Amino acid sequence: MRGVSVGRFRSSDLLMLSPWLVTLLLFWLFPIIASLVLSFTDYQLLSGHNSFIGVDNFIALFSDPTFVRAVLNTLVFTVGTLPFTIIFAIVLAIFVNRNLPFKTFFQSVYFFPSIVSLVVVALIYSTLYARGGYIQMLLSAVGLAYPPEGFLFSENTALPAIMAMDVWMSTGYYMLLFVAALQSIPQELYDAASLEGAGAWHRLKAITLPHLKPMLLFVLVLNTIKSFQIFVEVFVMTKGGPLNSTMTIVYFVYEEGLHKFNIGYGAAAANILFLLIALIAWVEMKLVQERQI
Amino acid sequence: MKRLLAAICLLALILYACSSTPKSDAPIVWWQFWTNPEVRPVITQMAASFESATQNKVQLGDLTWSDGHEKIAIALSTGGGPDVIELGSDWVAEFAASGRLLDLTDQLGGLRDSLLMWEPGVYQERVYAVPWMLGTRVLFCNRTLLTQAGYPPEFVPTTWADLLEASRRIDVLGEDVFGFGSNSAERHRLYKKYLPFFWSADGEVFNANATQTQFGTVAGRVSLDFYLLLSANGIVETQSRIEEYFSAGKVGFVISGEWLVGKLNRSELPFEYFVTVMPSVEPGGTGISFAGGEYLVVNKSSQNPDAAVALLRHLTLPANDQLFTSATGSYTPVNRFTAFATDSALAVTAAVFQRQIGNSRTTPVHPAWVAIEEILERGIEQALYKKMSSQEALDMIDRETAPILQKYARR
Repeated sequence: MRGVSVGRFRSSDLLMLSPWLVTLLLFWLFPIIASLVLSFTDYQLLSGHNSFIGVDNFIALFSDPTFVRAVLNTLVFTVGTLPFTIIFAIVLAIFVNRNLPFKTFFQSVYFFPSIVSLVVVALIYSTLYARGGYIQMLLSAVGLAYPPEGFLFSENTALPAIMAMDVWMSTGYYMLLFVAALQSIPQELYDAASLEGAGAWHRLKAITLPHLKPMLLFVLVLNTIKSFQIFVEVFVMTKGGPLNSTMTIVYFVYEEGLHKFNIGYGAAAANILFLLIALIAWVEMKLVQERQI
Repeated sequence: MKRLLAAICLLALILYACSSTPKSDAPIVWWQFWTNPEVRPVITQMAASFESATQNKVQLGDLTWSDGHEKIAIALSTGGGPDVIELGSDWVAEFAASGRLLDLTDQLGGLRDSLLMWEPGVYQERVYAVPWMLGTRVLFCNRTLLTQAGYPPEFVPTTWADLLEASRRIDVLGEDVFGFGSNSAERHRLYKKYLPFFWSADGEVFNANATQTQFGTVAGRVSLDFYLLLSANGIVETQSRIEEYFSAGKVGFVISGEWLVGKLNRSELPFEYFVTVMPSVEPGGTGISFAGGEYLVVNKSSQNPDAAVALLRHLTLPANDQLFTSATGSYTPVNRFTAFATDSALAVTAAVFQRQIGNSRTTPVHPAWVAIEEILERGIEQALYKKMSSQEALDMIDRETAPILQKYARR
């Protein structure tokens, strides 16, 4: 294929790349830049009123108790779900990777929650968590305490209830990634270790876990980003309540930007989220690089 | 490079050819919220009858309540959007203040005399929206539970004291039986449960020049204290779950609308129920309820405003109003000339709704109502969860709404 050169690319290369480039510019780069610009304005969607106000939105955000609560809740959600999801995923991956009867069945069953619509899962869990729901009945049967008003109506249990649902839903997906990583570990290593008299615990510690490290860090980054973006669960189950106990950053952005139409304020909150995710992902990527060297 | 330019030009031509539509053939685009199978065919039927009467084409667009507000706002803010839009009564002022709606004041003629409840459609003395559907809330009472609580068969709660006492007596009947069904932690619904009590206690949301809310008054405190007492003698849940509990015969009282009558009548109930108007503070007083409604507006950027206004007139004709109310199960037609009929079994229920609509009020007309509503609900929630006393919560509401109201008052 011949064509005029533009830098390192020929025009035909650019033409071939254009569908992706146009999509990138229109639907990724432009919204990111636009949202950055908007965060320095008091843009009102309906009236079209728009004036530059500098960093006022950012100052207001840090003195807004709802936003501060949203940041804290998002951090609690991320820190509270990440270890459980990863530990359960690794344990299940090791379990289903063994030569057990019905291995494929178990893999499918554990993966199943990941393919169900999040809205559907959230609605089902709302019913389970309700006053008189199955979880209350179960706890009552074994004599454990539960919030009588229902898990999603108690300030202390609403966020943990959503976190538990998220762990249940995400574990299967990450389990599958860990299964892929486990299957790439050469069997010879285990055979050699067995010949040397290494037990199951030693084989896990000396072979399995070190080989899982790259995948572990990949899952860590992926799950962190996903946890920071939690929205659908809150939208369907609690709308940020009660008493803002489930208010998260993305839900806050939605309420401000798309419900009250304070686009500038919402954009500022979205940019703080972007910075938070970028910072944490960068730290985690650094960790990945260090481990790979 | 020439080939690249030629390819781009060709692509641009194709896109232009696809997008250009002769203006004269452009249909009237009408966005509305009725997608359920009982009502949607009636919407289509009314659009079809308009098409055959005027030679205009109507293109229907469906919205949902979960994201309709955002979709409409985004569409209007682009300067485009549909010609005719259905709006909830509490949204009209917000969109009217933004200057995106057509001023209908001089185009309505006799319509103003034939349709009811114009208040939410009027902003700064100009009419921006035509009422299309009205509804109110009444008190649903479980007769079977009242009897179990020792009340005679003719008992009807008419005052706050009656309602509270009956809720108390029902609430102690069993662990899974509740006196009153009250809302909490559910955005955009809680205020609709509190305001009727506030209005019944002679409360007014705004002061005379709408620069301050007046919840921290005696009316505000008395009504919130009463709502908290009712909540303490019942179940606090989402509206849909409260209605489920009521339908299962486990709640003594619930405030709800026509839709619950339909739901109850579709199932085999293991109990008896009746509806009554909202109780008053004192004997002989008036219990005020919350009136909701659907309003029709015309986009200021409509290319065919005359046809859009004609569609509004068509939809509110008595014949269409009758079709629509019958499909939606409403007991309160919007057109005073609509011949309303219901089967005899529901005549008493219908009469209660019709009596209540005369003593119902709509959300105060203010462009920032969505923000005010959020603060109001947050305050009530603080009191419900005992984080603040009633007075502290109400004072907080007045304090936080003041800057919003004053900003609008200055404009």
